[in-house]
Amino acid sequence: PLLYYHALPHGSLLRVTRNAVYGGKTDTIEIPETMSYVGYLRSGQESEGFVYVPGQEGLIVKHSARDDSVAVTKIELPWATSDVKFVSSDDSMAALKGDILYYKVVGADSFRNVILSEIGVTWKVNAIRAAGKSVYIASGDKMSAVLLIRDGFMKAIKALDKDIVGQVVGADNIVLISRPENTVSLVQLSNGFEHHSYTLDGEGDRGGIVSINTLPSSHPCSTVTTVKIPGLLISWEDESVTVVGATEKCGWEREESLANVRSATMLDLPASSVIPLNLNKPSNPIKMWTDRILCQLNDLQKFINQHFGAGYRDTSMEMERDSFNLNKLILVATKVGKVAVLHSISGRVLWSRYMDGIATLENGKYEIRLVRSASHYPLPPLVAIVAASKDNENTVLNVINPLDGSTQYNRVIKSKVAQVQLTTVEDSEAARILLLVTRDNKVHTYPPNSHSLIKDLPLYFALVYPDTMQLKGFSLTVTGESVMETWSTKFRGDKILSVATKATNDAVYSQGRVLGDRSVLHKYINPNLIAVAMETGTGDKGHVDILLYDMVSGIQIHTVRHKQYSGPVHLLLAENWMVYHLWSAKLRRYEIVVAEFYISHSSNSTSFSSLLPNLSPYAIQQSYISTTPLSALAVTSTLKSITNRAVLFAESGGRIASIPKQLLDPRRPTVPTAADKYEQLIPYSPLLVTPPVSYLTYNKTLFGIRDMITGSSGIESTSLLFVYGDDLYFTRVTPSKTFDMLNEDFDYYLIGIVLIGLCLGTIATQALADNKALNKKWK
Amino acid sequence: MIPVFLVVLLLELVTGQHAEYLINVEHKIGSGDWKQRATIILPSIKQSSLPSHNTPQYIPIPANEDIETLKRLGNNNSTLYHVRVPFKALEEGEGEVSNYVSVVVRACSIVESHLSHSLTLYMDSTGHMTGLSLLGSAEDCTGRTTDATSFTTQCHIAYPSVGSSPDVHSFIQVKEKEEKKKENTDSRSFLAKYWMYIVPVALIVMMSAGGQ
Repeated sequence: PLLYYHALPHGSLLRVTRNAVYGGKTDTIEIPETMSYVGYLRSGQESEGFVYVPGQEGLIVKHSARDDSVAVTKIELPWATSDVKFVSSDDSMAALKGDILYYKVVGADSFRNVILSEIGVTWKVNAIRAAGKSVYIASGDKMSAVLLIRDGFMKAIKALDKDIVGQVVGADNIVLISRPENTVSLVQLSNGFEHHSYTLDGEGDRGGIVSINTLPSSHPCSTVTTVKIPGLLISWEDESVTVVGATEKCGWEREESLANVRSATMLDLPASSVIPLNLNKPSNPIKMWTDRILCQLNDLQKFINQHFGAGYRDTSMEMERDSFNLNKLILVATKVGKVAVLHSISGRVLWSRYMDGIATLENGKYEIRLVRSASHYPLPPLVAIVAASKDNENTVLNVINPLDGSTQYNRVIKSKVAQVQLTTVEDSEAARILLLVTRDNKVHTYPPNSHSLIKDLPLYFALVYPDTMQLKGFSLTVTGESVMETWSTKFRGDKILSVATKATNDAVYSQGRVLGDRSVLHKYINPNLIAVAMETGTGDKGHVDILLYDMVSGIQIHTVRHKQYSGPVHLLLAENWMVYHLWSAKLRRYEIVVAEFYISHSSNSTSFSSLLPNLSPYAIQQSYISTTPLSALAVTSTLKSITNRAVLFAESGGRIASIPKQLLDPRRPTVPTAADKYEQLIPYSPLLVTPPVSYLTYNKTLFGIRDMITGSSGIESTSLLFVYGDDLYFTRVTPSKTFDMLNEDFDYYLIGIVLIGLCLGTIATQALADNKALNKKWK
Repeated sequence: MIPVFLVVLLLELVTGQHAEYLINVEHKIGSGDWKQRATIILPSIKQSSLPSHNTPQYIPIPANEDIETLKRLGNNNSTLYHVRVPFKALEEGEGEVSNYVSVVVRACSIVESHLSHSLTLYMDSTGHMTGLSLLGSAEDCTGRTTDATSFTTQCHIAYPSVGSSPDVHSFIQVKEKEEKKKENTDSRSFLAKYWMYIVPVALIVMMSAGGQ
C-alpha cells in the first residue's frame, strides 16, 4: 500500500510504500511494515516524508530536487507514543507531549525539543495547530500563543488571552482571528506588532478557517498607505466567505452552506405572537375576561390595519401562523453542521448557527425531531437534532429553540446512535420524550433520565444492517433502559439499494375501495411496514428483489423479484400501496411499478395489531415505462388524507412532476368494460406520460436535487413541498385543486351588493303589494 | 400415452430419491430456550409445476411443543412467542448454519386460535429463506383458553412472485384493433355519400318551382 508520493521534476515519481521507497536515482530502500505515515514537508528544493513506529524509531525520506537524490535516515523517537499527534505546516513539523514541544524543520536530522514554559508559554497547552510556514498556534483553555521557528529554534512571538485561529499571509504577516468575538488582526511575524485590526460583521461562531487570501493592492478593499494593509478573503469552516477590508466601509459576507443541506423539516409558526394566553393557569374570571377582550381588540386592530391601512407592514405578522397554516418555518441542517431556519413565504433566513463538532450520521443525514411545539406558551418550542461527532465515534444531541436558535440542552453520548424515536409520552413540561438507542442497545432519553415514564411503552423498531445484509427487530425492555432483539432475518443479495417506511402521520381515509360492480376491495392497512429493495448480480444476470416485512413481528408480507433489473431504486410506501422506480437492464429503460395490497375479507376487529397476525394480503401490481431517471420520490400528505394523493417525481433533469394516484392504479384496464368506465378508471397505457402541466416547477430548473419533504398545511386540499439540493424550492401542491378555498377573484362585493339589493327589493315589493291590495279593498 | 406416463413416473421416482432438504423449525416461549418444534422435509428447493416437488412434509415433534407452558404464559398479554428457521434449507450431511430467520407474535394469539395456524416459509430458488409468516385466526387477546393439546400447522413454501413489467404487447394489440375498426368505417361526409340522391331531387324541385 502506498503511503505517499510526490512528483519529481523530470516527470518521475517518488513513491513511498509500506515496504520501500521507489524513484529518484537510488535503488529501493526497505521500510519496515509497522511504520505509520505522518506527513510531508517541503522547502524550496528539498522535500521530506516521515514515517515512524510509535514509541520507537522513524524514518525520514529526504528528496532533493537539485540532484534528484533520495536519502533515508533513521531517527529515534522514544517519546512519540501513539497518543502523540504530529502537526505539519509546510516546511516544519511539531508534536506536543505534555508541556514539551518537539519540532523539526526540513533538512534537520533530528527533532529538537523545547519546554514551553521556557519560551514564555507558562499556561497549560491543550493543542497545537499549524498556521502556515513554520508558524504554529498553541491554544490553552483561555490563552493562545503564536510560535515561530526561526533559525532552527522555536520562539513565542505573541500571546493573547483569547482563543485564536490564524494563518500566515504574505511573506511576513499572519492573520489572527479570535473566536467568538470575531476580531481579525494582522500581525507582523518579525516583531509581533499588530499592524491593523479589521472589523468583522456578524456574530456567531463560524468554525475554523479553511483559507485566507490577501486581496491585491489594486482591490478597493486594500489600502496602500505607508504600510500596506491588504484586504482579506476568508473562507470559513461553516461554508461562508467573508471579505474584510482595511477600512470599515468595505466588506461583505456570503453564505454558501445552504447549497449542502442534508436534512430539513417543516415546523408550524406559533399561533399568536402578541398576547400570551395563559390558558393553563386560569386565575379569577375578571382577569380572564379582560384578557380575552384585550386579545379580541388586538385582533380587530390588526384586521383593520391589514385591509384598510395603506402600506401597513408589520414584520411581526411574519412570525405568526396565518389562518390556513400555509406558511411554515423550515429548519435545515447542512453538511458542515450549520443549522438555519428559513421562512417559507420568502425564503428569508431567520437565523443560522454553526454547531461546531457535528457531522452527519452514517446515512448522510441528521435526525431532527419536534419535541415540543409552539402551542405551549410560555414554554419555548423545542427541536432536537441528533448528529454524529466529527470523529464519528460519539453522538451529539442538541436541543434548540427553533424560533431563535438558542440552545436549550446539549449532550455528547459516548457511543454511536442506532435509532432515534419520538414517543407520544409527555413529561410534566409538555415535552415529548425522545429516545436515543445506541449501538450497545442502551436507551438514552431526553429529557434526561425519564426512563420511568417510558418503562411500559410498547415500542418496537427495526434496524437494517447493509454490511451484513440483515434486518433485525428490537423492542424496549420492561425497565425502559435498554432494547432487546426480537426477530431477525438475513438477505442473500449483494447490496441493499433502498429502504422505505410509511410516514408517521400517514392516514387512510376509507377502508375499502368500491369497484364498478358495487363490490368492495378491503385495503390492507398496516402502519408498521418496512420495504427493502435489494440487488444481486449485475446486468443480464442480475435481479432486484423487493421485500416487505412487518417491523414489529418480522412477518414477511410480500416479496417480488424482477429478473434482469438493477438499481438505482427509489421506493415509496403509503396507505396500502407501494410505488417504486427501477432500471430494466435487459430493455434499457426505467420502469415504475405500483403494487396495492388488499385482503380478501374485511376483518371484524376494530383495531390492527402486528403481534396478532391473522390477515394475509394479496397484491395487485402494474408497471409502466418511465422516461427519466429520478433523484427523489415523495407523496403528498394532508391533514386527514381525504384529498387524492399525488406522487411527486423529482427528475434528474431538475423538474418535479406531480402524478395523480389515479394514473398509478394497478387496476387500470387495457380494455375497459362498462364497470371500469363507471369506476372512472383511466385506460392502461404502458408509457407514463407526464403532461407539461403537471410539472410543479413550470419553467424553472432545480439543479442537483438531493431530496424532498412534504408536509400538511392547515387546509385539507393543500400539501406543502420543500425540495433541497443545490437549489432550495418550496411550493404548494393541490392534487384535487383547491376545493376548500375560494378563488382569488371571488366577487365578494358583487355578491354582497346583489344580496342586499334583492333583500331591499323583496321588502320594497312586499310593501308595494300590501299597498295595492289595501287600495283594491277600498274600491 | 401410457409410455409417456410411465416415463414421467420413473423420472419422478428417480428425482424423488435425490437429496432431500431439511428445515428445522424451532420455537421459544417468552424468555425460555429454543426447542425444536418440527422438521420440514422438502423434496426440492426449485419451484416446479409438479406438486409433489413443492409440497413440504411437516413432521412435528410433540414432546417439544410445551403446550402447557404456552397456555400458562399465554394468559399474560405481553409474553412473546418466537419461531425461527435456519437461513438455508440443509441437504443431508450439511452442517449447522449460524444465521436464522425468525418472527415473533404474541403467545396469546396462538392460544386463542386454538393452536391452529399456518406457517409460510418464503424461500428463493437457492434454498435460502428470506422470511416467515405465521398467521392465526385470533383477532384479539381476551384471555380465552383452549382445549386443544397440540399444534395444528399448515405449512407452505412460497417463492418470490414475478415482478410485473409494462404490458406493451396487449396495449399494441388493442390499438391495432381500434385502427382496423376505423378503417372499415366510412369517413366521408354526409353530402359526399348521398349526393347521388340529393342532386336529382333538387333538380326536380327547382323544375317544379320554375314551372309555376
